Amino acid sequence: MITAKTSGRRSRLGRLARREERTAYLFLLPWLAGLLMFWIVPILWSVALSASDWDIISKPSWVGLGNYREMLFDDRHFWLAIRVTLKYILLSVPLYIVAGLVLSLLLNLKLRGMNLFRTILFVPSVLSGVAVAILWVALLNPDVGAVNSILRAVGIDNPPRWLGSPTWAVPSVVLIGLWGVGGGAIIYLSGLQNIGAQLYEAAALDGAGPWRRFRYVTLPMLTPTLLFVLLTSLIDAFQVFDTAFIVSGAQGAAGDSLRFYLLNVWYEGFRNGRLGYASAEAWVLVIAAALVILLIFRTSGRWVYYEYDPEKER
Amino acid sequence: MRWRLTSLLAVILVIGTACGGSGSKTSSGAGSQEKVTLNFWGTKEGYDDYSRALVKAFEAKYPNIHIKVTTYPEDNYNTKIDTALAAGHPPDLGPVGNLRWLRAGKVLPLDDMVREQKIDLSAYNKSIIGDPARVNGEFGCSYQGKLYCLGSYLGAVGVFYNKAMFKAAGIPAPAPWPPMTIDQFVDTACKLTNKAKGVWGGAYGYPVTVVPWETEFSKDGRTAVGIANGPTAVHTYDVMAQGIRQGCAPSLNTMDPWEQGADYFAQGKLAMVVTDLQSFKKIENAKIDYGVTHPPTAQGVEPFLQTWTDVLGVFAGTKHSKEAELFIAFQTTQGQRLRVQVTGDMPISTTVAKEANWAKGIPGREEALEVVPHARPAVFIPNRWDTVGALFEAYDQIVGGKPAQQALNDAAPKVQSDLDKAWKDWDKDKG
Amino acid sequence: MKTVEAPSVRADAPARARAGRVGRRWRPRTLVFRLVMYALLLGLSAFILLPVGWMLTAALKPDRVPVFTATPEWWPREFWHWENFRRVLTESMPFLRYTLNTTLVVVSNVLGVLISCSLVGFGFARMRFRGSKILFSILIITMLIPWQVLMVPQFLMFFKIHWYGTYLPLIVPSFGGTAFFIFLIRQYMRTIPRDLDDAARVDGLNNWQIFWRIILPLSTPVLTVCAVFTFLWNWNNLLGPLLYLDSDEKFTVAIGLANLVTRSDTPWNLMMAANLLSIIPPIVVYFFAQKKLIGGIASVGLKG
Repeated sequence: MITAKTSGRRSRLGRLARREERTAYLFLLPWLAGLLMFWIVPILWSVALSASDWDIISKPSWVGLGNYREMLFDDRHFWLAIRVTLKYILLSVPLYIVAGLVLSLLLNLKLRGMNLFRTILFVPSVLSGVAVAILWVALLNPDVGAVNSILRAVGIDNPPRWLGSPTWAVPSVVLIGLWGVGGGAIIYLSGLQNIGAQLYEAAALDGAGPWRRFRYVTLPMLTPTLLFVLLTSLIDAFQVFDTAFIVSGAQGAAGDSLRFYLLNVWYEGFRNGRLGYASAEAWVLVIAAALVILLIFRTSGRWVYYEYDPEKER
Repeated sequence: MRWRLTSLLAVILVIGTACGGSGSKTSSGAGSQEKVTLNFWGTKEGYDDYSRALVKAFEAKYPNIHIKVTTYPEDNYNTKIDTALAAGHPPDLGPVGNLRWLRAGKVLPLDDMVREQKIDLSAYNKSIIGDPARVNGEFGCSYQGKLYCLGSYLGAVGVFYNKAMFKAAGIPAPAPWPPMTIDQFVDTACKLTNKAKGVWGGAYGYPVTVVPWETEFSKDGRTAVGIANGPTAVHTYDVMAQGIRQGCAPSLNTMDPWEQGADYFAQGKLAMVVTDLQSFKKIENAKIDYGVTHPPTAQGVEPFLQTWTDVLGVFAGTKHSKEAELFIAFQTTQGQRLRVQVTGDMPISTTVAKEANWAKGIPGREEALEVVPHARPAVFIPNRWDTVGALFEAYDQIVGGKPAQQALNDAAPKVQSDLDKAWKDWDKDKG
Repeated sequence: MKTVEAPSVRADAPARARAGRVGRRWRPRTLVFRLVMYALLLGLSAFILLPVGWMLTAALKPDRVPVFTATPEWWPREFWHWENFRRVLTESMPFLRYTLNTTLVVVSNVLGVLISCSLVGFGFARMRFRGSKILFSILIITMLIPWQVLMVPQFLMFFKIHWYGTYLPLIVPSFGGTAFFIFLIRQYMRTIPRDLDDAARVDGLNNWQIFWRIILPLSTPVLTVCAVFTFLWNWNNLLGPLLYLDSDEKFTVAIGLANLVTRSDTPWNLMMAANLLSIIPPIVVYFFAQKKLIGGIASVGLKG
């Protein structure tokens, strides 16, 4: 944009910028319209619900901040759920990010049959959550499951009791998720495509070996994708639900060790019939997660490199 | 002149009945000729074959009533009904085993219908029909003196045992009633375990799914502290965990102890198993000579047997309550017999079981029929499964080696706190 | 340092881009390296496929035979009841009709997502406007709101506007964009060098043309990802169809599968067969979509 650099006539600059702004909003129109039509009303409704007591089928009654008070001072499930979910986040997010990245590098190699391998590694993402959970619950059976049979065969005498052990319950869920990490790898793959070969050639000409090429070319160019994966993995981890729901069932034989935050919300709302209280708990989650996410997002400018950043065009 | 008048009157009469009939909202049952469609939302509780046969038989008997069946997944059924009720758009018929709906008045009582249709409930399993003075909880059909649902079969928890293995070990086979104590059960299991052949002596799930709840809770269901970590509970948990630690029982899958139990038993890998009595078909298929006994109980605690049925009822807000009630009546009478034929499930009424010869002379089935009449309503605890989380964890820890008294001492206050919260919510909605 | 030379922007630019495939993917040289990589890949594939093999074994068993055995069976040995697949297709549910219904919903969603998210993603990625930071933050925050609490309010809203019992609540919202994909596309589009934009503006193209003729074609990889994920997610989506559909004729495959799950006497063999069948369409889509995954700016033929 030549005009951006020159201190041209102010009116012309203003008009162009305004035109771009209008065009931008046109591009954004589908999302803005969607927000207005499908999101605003339910969101406001949900916020109102969080200040009420509602069993879904009768009339709601107003309780003001009562739900929040009860949550913080009178409900051990609330704090339990925070602990369990936090443990899950700390274990799963770094693991999934690194594993996805490593896997995508592997899948990006030019080897024969790579299409087939990529497809195979994508299969777990395709299976429905129910199937995956059922499968892995069987495999993780402490006595006769395959995982422990293999562990015993390699000499580990007392393998963990997985879902039946308070310490290993959350790691079991992380393991089940790891099985499906191939699906996330394709996001990295698409990001890898935009790294120009010339950059690699230039680096090679400068004498850089594979590790340095990775460290100084691939990684920096991947940072936009990394940011995306970091944020979405975090959001996913905050909202983990499916596996735990299936393992513990709708009626809920979830021992304390699998009481994830949103599972707890689900129980309170749809099993115990307290949707107002459940909404309040959910909004607490949104606020907490929003703070973390926005913090990461705002500090991302320091480590993420964009080829094209409109905000830097001033 | 007279001829013309009569024919005119006749025409008016005919038109009048036709218009009047199609316009009325509440028809008078079998006498009406209008076509009525009832919405039946169900779960695949068992088998399509049965529901299809049932609907067909019903529509054959009542040609003016059409039943539109829509099947929803079991795990999500409650949510579906909740949203439908919230929108004011529920189905006419469906499983109604949810106390919240009963309390909110969203289900119609069936006592009048039972009286009118002269359905004999005396041989029905008492734990389903209930003792009018007690509140039944989620698997029973009566609440505060009124009956809200009926069923066509009886599901129950029982103990299958392998008669051949007992004989080979020289141990006398247990009688259907009275049940063993948990000590006797685990002891017998250990005697019957044969590591060389890969056979476990017994299999059971978490204590709250095996022994009566009075082991951990007071009779009024409001107290756990002092009982859940009291001597009976501690001893029971300890014994059961020992059984697993010593290899007399396998640690069962946290998700579905019932299904896996029957599988292993049918392969001859278990001498005894506490599981769902509906699995007897699988076991008979494997040609195991089996017997049935009542689930074990803790020392000094009144024995308890979990039962359930396809708790069909009528939702309030239906525009065709009479027709809907007809369907319920049909389902619980002819439906029962039909079900024995199509799926082979145990009928809910012992009379029907005898008439339809459900037992077919198989000793195991006869024993099952002796066991189930001892079913009684459970200790009532609102939001039952939300209060026992700490007990699950405690048991896992004990199996892992933690001393039972310590684990339960840690768990009891947590259970109490959950219990208090559940009761607070429950009492708040009263009146 | 930048050795990228902006290609002159002509109408056939995308075609030239595809033609000039510079080896972006690294061809490993040494044999040892290749062997190690193959070993890794095979190991991973086993990790993935063994459980699937177990599913197949279970699917081929007859009724009333134990499915959970003391030593797990990774490959069918005894039972080969292929008719279970036929049974699933014909007896346990009207599979064909469910598949057609699901296809309708899925394809509409893919269309809606591709159209809306590419537009909105472009807006956030490469345009300057007041409020862009705030709006983007709002976008991220909407991803945080758990569906569990919006479920009932949204349901009641759709009920009030008489969309209950139709496919509309399942399809129309996708035309309003999905935050996840908008975010992804925005990140991707920001990796495309601005030299292309500059050259285009010199040639007199406006924003829309830049979007349509330059950026969009170069974004095939990320759009493929969006399409594949949308397909997948909608194929498996249970709760939406469950809440908004009320007659069997309209049901989707996900509902049919979930119906097989019962807490007592589950027909495991049929359930596993059904799950295996339902994997096939998404896998086929993914297999063919892979070609589009490779592309992007790196494939624009460039001379240093």
